Formats: sequence, structure tokens, C-alpha cells
Amino acid sequence: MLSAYIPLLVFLAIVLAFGVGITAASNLLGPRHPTKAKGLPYECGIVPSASARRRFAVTFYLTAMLFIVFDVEAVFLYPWAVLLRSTLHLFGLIEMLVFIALLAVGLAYVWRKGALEWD
Amino acid sequence: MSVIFGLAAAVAVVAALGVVVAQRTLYSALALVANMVALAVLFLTLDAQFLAAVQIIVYAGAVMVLFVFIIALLSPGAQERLHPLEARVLIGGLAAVAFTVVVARLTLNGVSVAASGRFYGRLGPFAPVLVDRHGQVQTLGEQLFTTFLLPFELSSLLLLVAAVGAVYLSRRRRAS
Amino acid sequence: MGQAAVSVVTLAVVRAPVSLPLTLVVALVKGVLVVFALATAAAYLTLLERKIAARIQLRIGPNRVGPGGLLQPAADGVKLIFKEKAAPAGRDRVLFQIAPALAAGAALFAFATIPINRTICVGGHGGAGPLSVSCAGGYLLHWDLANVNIGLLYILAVTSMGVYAIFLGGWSSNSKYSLLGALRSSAQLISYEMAVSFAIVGPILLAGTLNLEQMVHQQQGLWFIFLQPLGFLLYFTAAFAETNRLPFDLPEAEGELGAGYHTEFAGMRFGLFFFAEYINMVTVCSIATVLFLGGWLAPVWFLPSWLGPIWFVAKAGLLLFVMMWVRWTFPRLRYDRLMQFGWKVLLPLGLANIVVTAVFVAVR
Repeated sequence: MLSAYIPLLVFLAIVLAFGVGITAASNLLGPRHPTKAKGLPYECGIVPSASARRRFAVTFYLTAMLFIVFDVEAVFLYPWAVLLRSTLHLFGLIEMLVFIALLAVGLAYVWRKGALEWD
Repeated sequence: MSVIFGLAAAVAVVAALGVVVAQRTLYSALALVANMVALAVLFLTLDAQFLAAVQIIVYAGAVMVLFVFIIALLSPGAQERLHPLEARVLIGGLAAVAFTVVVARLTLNGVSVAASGRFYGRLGPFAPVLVDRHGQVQTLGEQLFTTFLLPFELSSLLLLVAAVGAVYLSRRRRAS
Repeated sequence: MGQAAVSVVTLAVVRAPVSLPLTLVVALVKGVLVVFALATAAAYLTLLERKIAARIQLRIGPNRVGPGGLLQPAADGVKLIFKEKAAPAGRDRVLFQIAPALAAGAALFAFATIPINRTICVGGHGGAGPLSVSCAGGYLLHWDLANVNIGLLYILAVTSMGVYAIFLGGWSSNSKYSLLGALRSSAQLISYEMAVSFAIVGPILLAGTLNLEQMVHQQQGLWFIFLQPLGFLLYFTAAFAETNRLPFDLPEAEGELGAGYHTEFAGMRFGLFFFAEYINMVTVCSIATVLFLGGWLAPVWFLPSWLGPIWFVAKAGLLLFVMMWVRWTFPRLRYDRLMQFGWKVLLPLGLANIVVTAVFVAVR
């Protein structure tokens, strides 16, 4: 079955060549007159104040953490969804209802605790 | 086949080295992403297609995103250099050596036992014949939702705990 | 359910053994064709977008370069390549170079498993039934790059790498606008990736496969959009956010963030990000076509079925038009509302859709 993936290797090489080619071309072509002002990051036309690397709202990290939880759940859903019709039938349905119910509790908890709010 | 295995293994090793030797923490994390992708290709050479996709979706696409978020943004400008003789480094090095020994032993044993046929016999439903049959979602799903029903249901409990833990962590940080 | 109920576990496509060199050559030709086609499509979609925007705003749109403005994309490309690549001095030089190429590369690479026609038998004789293909003495031509068992998951996996391009692009610029745009964009992308993950479970339940070609075969007679209207709506809505399109284009909200994560990118580096956005649009519309609109199947029974690729392009094109239409019609959401919409509306609805569909499938 692995043979079905071999074209992907070729495609990867083509895509890499495309990316590297365009990046190289854009580096080589075009004028280059760097000045000090040109090298400043955009900040509405004023001289940038303070560093751009700063801390941000914790909600962003929370989003990433919750994403992992629900992403793993989704991954469990795929093999189940493939098999439900042909092999698992009612038994599989009940299994997954229990699984989803627990996750729904998780979502409800996260919701109630205000973790989905942005302030 | 072996060409692909060689390529992926080489990328995995180089990326793993990159994780350790990279000067900047963010580069370490990105090397780890590359390592995960190479591992996915290795899964593919073992015919574990579903696992390969999951490896990328969950590890490279979700877990590492969180890592990168935190490294890039929570520690701005932290260019911490570890002294080679620091306790952490020594303990880490010892752990790495121990892990290598364990994996090497398992691998070598596994190969010899597999040759005698007992290894696969113990693995039951994962005998290579069955994995080959589809080597994919269907086989894995059948086992997961019948033989391994309890671990599967328990994993949802684990995910629930993880969600609660994530909320708790962020709450505490917000309060301080 | 309207379609033929065939045991899904046994429907592996029978493959005739093909020599490795032939496989490589075919892959090379197909790969170059796909890259060329997607690049052209992306270029002309930018023109189409400007034309549609103009018509909606009672303007004419670009019409100077070539007849009716048809050479405008070429002119844009030349301009972007030869423009000065101004870049902030404090950037991370390595990541600043890699990020645009990664964005475009991930967008292109994701397209590999999308079938735009049924597998056909070239040269040999064999029946190409809906679920298995035999082709004695000939070559089995798949109309995708890789016809794999987990085609749908492959696309999810590759597109999930696009987050890195956007995040690293913004982070490496060392600019506040870029960084904020990157952060917003990444958080939005992963949130709506989840909505997508749940929305596509409906069609998988109905079809019992992750292979995209078989997914379309299962829709013979009845497209899944009729069985999964909510699933389609959820998927297509999340697709807007996945491609950073209005009304969910917060990452580049030009009024407040400059241009978001690619503020500091100039010339073709910016071009690659822009290119990636349009390719991603093509990809999400193609996935929607495959999962819900019957892929290459003819829209009505009396139309010729051998025109598969034409029907495919027509359906995906219709969805692309809707995306543009929406962009120039709806206002932008506020960021907190956007995130809450993903988590509090799309996610629970997606779960509910899965439960209802599963009950329907299991007790049928």
C-alpha cells in the first residue's frame, strides 16, 4: 500500500523546487536600496517604541491547549465514523455516545468557567 | 522502500540533533516539528497510514503549535545558555543514554524473537498479516472499538481532565 | 439512504502492479500540471476577485492590461518579482525567508489527494465499477496525485502545517502588527480547524471511508449536501475562517493591523502569502465539492458523465464565487466574537450533527 504514497515524494520535490525557486528569484531580482528608515518595522509612520516581542493574553495559550484536547477527540472520531456503518452498528453508537458525552461535559465546563471569553 | 526509510530516518536523526544543539529555543521547537514529520513518514513505511496522519495532525499540528506559541511569546528574548556541567544537563544526558540502551535492547530482542515467530504470536491482533490486510483505519478501528474499548473510553476521561487542567492553569496565571 | 449499500471494509481498489519508473514519471507530469494549474487558478482568482468587487461596487475593475484586463495577473506577477524587497532590520533572517515559501508550499502540497475525476483505465481493458477498478494490460490513471486510504486526513495534516508559516512569518518580522496578526491568525486557524474536523465527520459516517474517490462514488444518486445540510454549512463557514477570508479576516484586518502577519513582507515574499491564500481557497472549495457536492458527478442525470473534471471545476468555481461574493457583502466580525462563534456555535453544532447522523446511520 505504501506504493500509493510514492507520488507524494515526487510532488514534495516539485513543491520544494517551486518554493525555493520563487524565494531565490525574489532575492536576486529587484533593486536593493536599504536605508535606516526603510528597515524600521511599520508602526503607523512613527518610530517604533519598545520591542515587538512581548507577552500576550493568556487566552491565546488556553485556546491552543483546548485545541489539543478537542483535536485528539476528533482523531478518535475518524476510525469510528469509517466503521460505524459497516461493522460497529448500534454497539459502536453507544460507545461513542459515552465518549462524546464526556467531552461535552468538558466543553460545558470550559464554557461555564468562562475560558471561552475574551476580555 | 528502504530508500524512503533511509531518507526519513536521516531527517529524523538530524532534526533530533537540531533540537538539542539549536542556539535559539524556537529553532529547537521547529526542529522537533521536523522530527515529528519524519516520524510520520517512518510510520508510513510500516504501513501505519492512519497513525502517520495522526502523528502530524496531533503532534506536529497541535501540540507543537502550543510549544511554539509559548516559546515565541512567553519568554521574549530569553537566550538562556546552559552550562555543560549543570545538573539538568547531566541528568538529561544520563536519561538519554539509559533510553538509548532500553530502545536498543528492545529492538534487537524484538527482531530475534520476531524471527522465531513468538513475538508476533504474542501481539495477537497486530500480527503483520492483519496489519497488511488494510494496514489502515479499518483494522485499527476494529481493534480500538472492540478489544481496546476500555482504554478508549478511559481516554475520553483523560481528555476531560486535560480540559479542566488547562482551564485551571490559565485561571491561576490570570489571577496572579 | 439512497446509495447502494456495499460493505465498505472490503472496497480496496485493486491495483495492477506498475513499474516504479512509470509511477515516478506519471507523478512528475501530474505534479507539474497541478502546480501550474493551481498557480494559474490563483493568479486569475485575484483578477476575478477584483472584477467581482468592482461590479458589486458599481465600478469596472482592472481593464487596461490586455483585453478586458486579462493580462493583469501577469503584470502583477512581474511587478511583485521586480519590486524592492524592503524588510525590517530586526527580523529573524532565516524564518523570514522560509515562512512565505512554507505558506505557498503547504497550500500546494495539500491538493495532492483531491480527485477531480473517477479513476480510468488507459490502454487496457477492464471494468471501472464504482468501488473497484480492474485494468488488465493497461494503466490505471488516477485523477489525483496520490489515491490513498486516508486522503481526507492527509489534507488535514498538511493544512495544519500552514499555521507555522503564518505564525513564523509574523513573529520573524519583529513588528507589533505582524506579531499580533500572526497570533490572532494562528489562534483562529486552530479553532476553526477544529470546527472543520467535526464538520467532516458527517460525510465520513455516511460514506464509511476516508478515501476521497470512494467518498464521491458513495454519492452516486444522492449528494451528501442533501443528507448533511448542516454539515455543509458548518464546513463552508469554517472554511472562510481557515482561509482568512472576510467576514473572518481578522488576522489581516487592514483597518487595525496594517496587513496582519504579512505587513512587513514586500514583493514576491508577500506574493507567496497572497498566492497561498488563494490556493487554500481552491483547496477548501474542492474539499467541499468532494465531500458534499458529489465531486465530478454530473449535476443532473441527463448531462454526460464523462465530463467529470468540468463538473468538478464548475462546482468548486461556484463555491469560490460565493466566497468572493460574501467578502464584498458582509462586514468583519470582532475578534472575540469570531473566536466565540467558533467555540460556542460551530463546535457544539458540529457535535450535535455527528450524534444525529450517527444515530441515523446506526439504526437504519
